[in-house]
Amino acid sequence: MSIRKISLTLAVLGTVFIFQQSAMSQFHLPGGGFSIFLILVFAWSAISTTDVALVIGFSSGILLDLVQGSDAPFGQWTLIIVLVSYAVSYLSFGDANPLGIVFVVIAANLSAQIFFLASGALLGVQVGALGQILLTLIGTSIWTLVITPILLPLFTKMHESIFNTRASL
Amino acid sequence: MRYGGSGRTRLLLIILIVTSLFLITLDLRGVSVLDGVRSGTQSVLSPFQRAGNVVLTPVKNFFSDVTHLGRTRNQLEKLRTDNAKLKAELLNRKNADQQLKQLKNVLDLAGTAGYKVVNTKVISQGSSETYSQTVTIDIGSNAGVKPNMTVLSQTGIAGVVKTVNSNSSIVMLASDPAFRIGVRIAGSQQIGILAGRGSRSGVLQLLDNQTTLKVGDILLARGSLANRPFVPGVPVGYVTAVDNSAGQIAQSGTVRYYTDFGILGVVAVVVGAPTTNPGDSLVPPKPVPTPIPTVTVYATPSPSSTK
Repeated sequence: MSIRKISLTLAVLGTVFIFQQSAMSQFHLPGGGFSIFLILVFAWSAISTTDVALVIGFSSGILLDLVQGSDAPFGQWTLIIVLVSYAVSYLSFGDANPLGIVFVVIAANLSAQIFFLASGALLGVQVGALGQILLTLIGTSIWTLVITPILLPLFTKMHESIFNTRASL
Repeated sequence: MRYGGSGRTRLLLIILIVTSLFLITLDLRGVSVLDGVRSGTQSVLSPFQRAGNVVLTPVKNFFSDVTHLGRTRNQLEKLRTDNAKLKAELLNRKNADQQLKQLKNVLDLAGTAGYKVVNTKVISQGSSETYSQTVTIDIGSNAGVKPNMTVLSQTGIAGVVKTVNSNSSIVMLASDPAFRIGVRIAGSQQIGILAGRGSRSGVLQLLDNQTTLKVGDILLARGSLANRPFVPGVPVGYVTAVDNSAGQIAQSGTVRYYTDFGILGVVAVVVGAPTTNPGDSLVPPKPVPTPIPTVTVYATPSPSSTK
């Protein structure tokens, strides 16, 4: 990866992160809502090589850890997103089926949240009642299922323009 | 195609994992540099959140209406006819009126108890990824806000100030799973600890096994030493269910918060506590049941046409 590609990737991640935190955070959607930022991260990881996915995962994890509302220790999201992004890229890179990418993004989103909750519980972070957690997990998965197909073509185009490679979609 | 990457990629993976673990260790050991970075990020984000709040408020109201459609359908039906003429005007004024109403109620609440408050707008809901219940308000240390100050909504407690930046602050809502507050049952001195559960209901654990809990009991904040994080007397919620299971040392119950955390628009930070404990003066009045009009119809037989 060249400096140019890294810079452009960080710029896109930063822009979507600010959009998520300033615009999407205004809405109190039922079922916990969705994160455009996480959808972008996992969609890009799915259509990138593992080294690119690692850089994307690390940068986005750092950004999520910077959110001050979280009780989670700094670095928890970074660790989780690095691992999940690597796994997503390992399993999906070269997959030509858009539907497959959508389901990988949903599974990655769900896995990341479950890892976050499990590691949070190990680290002593209060995460709430089990029923509420299940509702949120189901709610965010449904939202992700609805939103990902809408955003995937846009994210793929952006990826293509930065990395100069067709994403097989 | 599965592509695990070269040896260099695996080395990068290991380096990033080690870096993450290093960051977690630093944070758990309380290294203040990381707090500074988080605080700096919030300072950068708050102008964007403020702008997002201004631009997206009309859309937000639409989504809020859709979300609450089931609960307010009857009310909406009734209002639809009345609002026809004023619809255009109301669309523009709806947000301002709503915030004004919330502000008035907050000031009434604070005024009754003698709290010194600073009013503020909620500029952002908490991040959906964190499983923590927080909001961002648009005042900070420049307005005299400090960590661990009580935050009021129009109906009672909203939360407590968690972190403060120069022009914005993060408030941990009372619904957050990590939230704990000492409460007192109104009209008595029975005390307990209320914990958030991630929703509008909380769990109350009484401290004394000689006392009993009833459905409908109203809970007030007991107050903290030096009035931080909690000033006394703030309405918190009411008991909706009592757990009488055997084996418990003291009774516990489920509590519904007075505050609807989904529609917080205006809140007040208590920057000065009252000189005297307001006691039960803030207990909300019980809802008066609306009388159902009854109509008595007397049947009068019409004169028969046949003779």
